Amino acid sequence: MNDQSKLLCEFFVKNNEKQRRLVRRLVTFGLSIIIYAVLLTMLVQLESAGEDSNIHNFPDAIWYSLVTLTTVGYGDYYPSTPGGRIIGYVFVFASLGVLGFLISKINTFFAEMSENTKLGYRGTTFTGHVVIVGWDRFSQTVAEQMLAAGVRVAIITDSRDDIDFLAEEFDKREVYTLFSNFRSMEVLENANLVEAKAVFVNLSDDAASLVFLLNSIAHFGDGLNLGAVLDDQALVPTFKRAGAGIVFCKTELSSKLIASYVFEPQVAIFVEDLIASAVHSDDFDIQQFMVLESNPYCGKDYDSTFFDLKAKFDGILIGLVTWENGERVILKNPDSPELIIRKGEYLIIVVNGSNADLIADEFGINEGTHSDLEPMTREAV
Amino acid sequence: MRQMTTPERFLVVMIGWDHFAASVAGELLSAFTQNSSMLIVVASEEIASSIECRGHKAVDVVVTSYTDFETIEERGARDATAVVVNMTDDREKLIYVVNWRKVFPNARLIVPIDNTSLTKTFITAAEVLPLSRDEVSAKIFASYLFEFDVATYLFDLLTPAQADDDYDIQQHLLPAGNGFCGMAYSDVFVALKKQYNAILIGVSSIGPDGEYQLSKNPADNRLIESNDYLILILSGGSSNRLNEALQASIG
Repeated sequence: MNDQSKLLCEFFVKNNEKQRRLVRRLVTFGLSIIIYAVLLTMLVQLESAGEDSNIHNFPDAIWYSLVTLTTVGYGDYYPSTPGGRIIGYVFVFASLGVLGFLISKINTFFAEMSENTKLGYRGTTFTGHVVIVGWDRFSQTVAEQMLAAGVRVAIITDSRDDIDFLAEEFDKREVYTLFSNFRSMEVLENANLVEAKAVFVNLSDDAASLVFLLNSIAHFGDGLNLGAVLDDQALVPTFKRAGAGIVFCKTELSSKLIASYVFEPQVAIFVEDLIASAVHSDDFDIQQFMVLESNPYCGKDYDSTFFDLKAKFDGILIGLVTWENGERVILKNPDSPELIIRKGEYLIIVVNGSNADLIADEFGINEGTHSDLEPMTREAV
Repeated sequence: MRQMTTPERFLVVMIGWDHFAASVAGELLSAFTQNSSMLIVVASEEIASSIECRGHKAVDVVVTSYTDFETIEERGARDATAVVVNMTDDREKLIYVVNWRKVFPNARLIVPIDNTSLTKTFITAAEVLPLSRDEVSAKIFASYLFEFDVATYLFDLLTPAQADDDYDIQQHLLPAGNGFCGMAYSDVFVALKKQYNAILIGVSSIGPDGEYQLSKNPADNRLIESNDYLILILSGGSSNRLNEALQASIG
């Protein structure tokens, strides 16, 4: 049996099961209504003949039955004939079941609501967030870096244990979790991939990541900003061709840093700190800030900005991002006195945990890329 | 990352070989100078034959037990600048570095580890520099997701500079009698930018325990002293000019 036939079989089995459940519920409901109507008819018949009876018609009987079944028991209507009292016993005993049924239904409703929220089936309102597909130690480090930088994260995992761990570990205002296999794209819509800043695919093996990448592009279109980290360096071009914007091999970066430790340990220690997001005041980080028109350095020359940022904020300007011939270009430590900083460009600055916020306040914008505000050419800058 | 330290002999010992070790070796070889060499210790001839860089003139492969310290010492391991321990699991690495430390107490051990919770154990047990393979990659990858240009810049800084206009983070030792000695950090910062277009981002100096201690972007009034390392972002061209100036000051 091929995969398509299997899927069709699964579809029909699931649908049949649903239909059977619906029919069972309808039959139970119909039988209950019939029994209830028969009991009311008998009650009215029997009580109408009684001398002291106060149940004379259907509205009286319905009121009496409802007051009894819900265990309210006003006592304004009651059966007085022996036959009527026997039916009264039925309503009194049935009231126990009805109450239990109602309580269990309400409990189930709230439990299902809570479970659906925990599993992420009620969706997220996050936008501009980062979606992480697949959970392991690597994903956890990425998520922690994102949160330290103030970026909200949606995590998709197929392990129930991960969901419980994530619920305990992270604040649900910052981290949304979704329990799903990685094939059901309709379920994955809950994570709002379309409005995410980036989607990071990190499944157990490179082939699974590639399948997810292709399926997600087929379902959500090629507007997603997809990234992947691979075990096999040789697959990097394949992923790029498949549509991933950011792809590299896990060992590539750490091997560079280890080589740096061998030659220049002090440099490597510094670089390791620069790689991580600054959380404490003595942590260092490299951040990029877009230049808005209101930025005091907009229109100023690069060199004076370099010295002014150091003097005022103790920030170290190390580069400028601009556009040349439609291409994004990083000018690393440019040495051209006539270079003017313009609106839409980015300043790349070494900051620490305490001056980063001051610089963000002065610039009127948070760190990070703001692709929606970017010009595409130096002329447009 | 350019090899700046130039001792008489620069030897890196690699213990164990796999895909990751090959990647590290590739990075090292691309930055090697003439007096550099690499000793790779592997446990079987089969592994040795899989080492692609085996034919490189700076590479010496020895097939022996990892604990055959006598043979390893014969190949000069006692004078190794750094030792990279790269075995299959963290437990094996921990036992190995403790044994290594007993035989070669002064070697600088670098251990790529999988489990970050063992970092302190490694430092305490054998004074090694443990580095989580995945953590570094994960942090840079995270940066790529929301600060694309920063990550690109960092990636370039980590890649060995090949051309004169490639940028790199380097450490430069200040010889005694150099013009920068005795100056305040802020003055050196301005002078290096103006004279060499180099960005001073930190200083490493010998602490009370005799070890170098790194100060990242220290206070403006910090005095720069001889034998301090200046940590700089600069191009290959600037680096050469600065080196020449520092060497001239020794003369």
